[in-house]
Amino acid sequence: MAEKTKIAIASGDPAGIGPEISLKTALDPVVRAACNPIVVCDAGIVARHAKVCGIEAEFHTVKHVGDADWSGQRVNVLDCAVADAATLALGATSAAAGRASIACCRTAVKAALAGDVDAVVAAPQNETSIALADIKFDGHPSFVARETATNESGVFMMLCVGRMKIVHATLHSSVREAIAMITREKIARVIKATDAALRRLGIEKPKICVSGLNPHAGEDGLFGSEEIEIIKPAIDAAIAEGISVAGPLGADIMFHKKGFDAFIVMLHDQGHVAAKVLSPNATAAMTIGVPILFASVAHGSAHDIAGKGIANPAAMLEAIRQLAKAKPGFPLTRE
Amino acid sequence: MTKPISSTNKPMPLPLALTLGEPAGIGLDITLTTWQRRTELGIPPFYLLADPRHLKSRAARMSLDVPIAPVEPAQAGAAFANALPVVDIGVTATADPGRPDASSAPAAIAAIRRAVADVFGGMASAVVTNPVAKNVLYRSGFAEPGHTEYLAKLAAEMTGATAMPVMMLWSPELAVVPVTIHLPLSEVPKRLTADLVVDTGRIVARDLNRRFGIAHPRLAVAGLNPHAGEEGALGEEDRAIVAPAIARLAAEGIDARGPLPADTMFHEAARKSYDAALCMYHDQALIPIKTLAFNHAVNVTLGLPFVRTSPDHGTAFDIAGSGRADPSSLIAALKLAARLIEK
Repeated sequence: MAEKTKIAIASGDPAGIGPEISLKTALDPVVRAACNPIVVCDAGIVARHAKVCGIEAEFHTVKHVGDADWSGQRVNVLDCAVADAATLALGATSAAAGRASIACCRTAVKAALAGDVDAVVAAPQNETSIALADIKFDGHPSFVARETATNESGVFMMLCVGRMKIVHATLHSSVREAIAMITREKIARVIKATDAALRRLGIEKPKICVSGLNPHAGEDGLFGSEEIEIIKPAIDAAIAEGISVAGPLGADIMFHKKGFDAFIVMLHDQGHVAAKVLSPNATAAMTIGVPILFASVAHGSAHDIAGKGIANPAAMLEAIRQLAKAKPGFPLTRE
Repeated sequence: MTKPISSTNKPMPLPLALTLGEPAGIGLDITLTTWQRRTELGIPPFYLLADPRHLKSRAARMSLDVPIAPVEPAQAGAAFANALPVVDIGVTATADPGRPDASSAPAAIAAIRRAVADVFGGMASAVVTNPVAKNVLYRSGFAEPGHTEYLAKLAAEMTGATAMPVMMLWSPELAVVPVTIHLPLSEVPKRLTADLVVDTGRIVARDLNRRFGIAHPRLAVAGLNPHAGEEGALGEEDRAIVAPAIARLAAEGIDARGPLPADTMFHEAARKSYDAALCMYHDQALIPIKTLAFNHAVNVTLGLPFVRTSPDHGTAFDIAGSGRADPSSLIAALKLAARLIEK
């Protein structure tokens, strides 16, 4: 039997629900059957969360992924020791929590870059804590791009909702800026990144569909020319390179088309509105275009319910479900 | 003229006037199959404005056993139970399914004009329109941007007062209003003004009250930018245009909230908190409603001096005449029109 996919779970902000949902995920029998998970966290912090949340777990703390042992029910923890861990208050933002959160994520990314794990799932960060720690952070895609020395203009977010995957050509930009960012080069990059990510996830011949920017994808130029001048030529170029890609289609009808492994949209709201209507909670966000497989959950650190044992791990389970299909040892690709 | 026969003294309610739409499109197909299900689905009486011979030839082509009764509007209500009532528009239509021809635009336009005239003449209660093909109309020299603008122009001709038509897409799950509609996205930030948002919000609130019978309509207003601009970090329009417009609406006593991040407005719990969502551009409004109500959303025009509904799809030339067109949206449009005129 082939070796299972190894997945590092970066436990996110230690004062939020991250350690709790990481633990619940690592203990989930479906997860354990599908992959070998390892929680990246300060060993003391994850034990504290287990205790206050009433989660019984047998921990196996390691310094290197190579020392992990997935036999029985034990939860492997890649120790990412944090100063002040013992006094860190759950439910409160702090510089210490911000530092710990970033450290876990960085450690998990490094393990993936080194090939020690096949993929990373990240629990939610808390941007306030990170700002208190005086660390620059503007979302996981940019963070992972920097940590993997990848040019950010080729890094994209792919939302995963069940079998539907939605890639955003632009994300956190105003509508005006997003329009300016839509170039043939950008569309070519997002198509290639999507194709590569889908192959990494085990889809042999990915089929991709691209939306328009304008209403009805411009309706033959009646409502805008970007489809004719930018998007369609980029699609044609990708087809010429052997990628299976269709479009541009009106974003409002596109999501009903069958037979595509991923949809590419031009704007944040085109993709996020559809994803969150379909599934307000169970959404995973993959960062694609980077040399590692990386997914985060599309919700916050929920400090208000930290340590109560009531946090729902649905989004993280969804993220793992997506990544568990990744081929172990699949060679890293860099553009 | 004899009065319609009725078992009580209560006059029979006026029928709905349904336009032909693009003669080569699926309008005739879905009209025929809708009439076949009139009893089963409790479809309100309507008459079709079309060329009766053209309609009969489509029915024959589709092997549909639908009796067709050429009538005047006054007879339509009584005829509806036993035959599909069709009122002759006086223009010969010749287009085959999927192939618009020179008769297409004159026939489509004649039907729209007649429907509006019938409503103002007290012969019909509301206008329900089948889809037209904008390109076909434009090629014939039609100078209006679309169906809705043309209806507004006709209404202005009839009443002497200008009307601002507002498009709402309605379904039992969600009602959305795109504040800008068929504009290139690059034009949206330039054309979006506080006045436009306020004028739209007023009409939506008024018609939700007057037509839909909602005592205190609640409006949720989306921001233009991701995360509603995130305090200016992701675009200025939400602070500079949308937020002041909402404040003006609120000052007029209209329950309007926002600007809200569009991606968290449309899940089930959020939808319960408002009666209509105002969105800043086409896809922001159309994506959630097409996701929730793909085949049964209705296009309702607010702001007109009469009720107008329409199915929320196009002419579907590729399947016209094949019998594969789904009449769900037309059925929903007819039922909604009947509901709105009761108020």
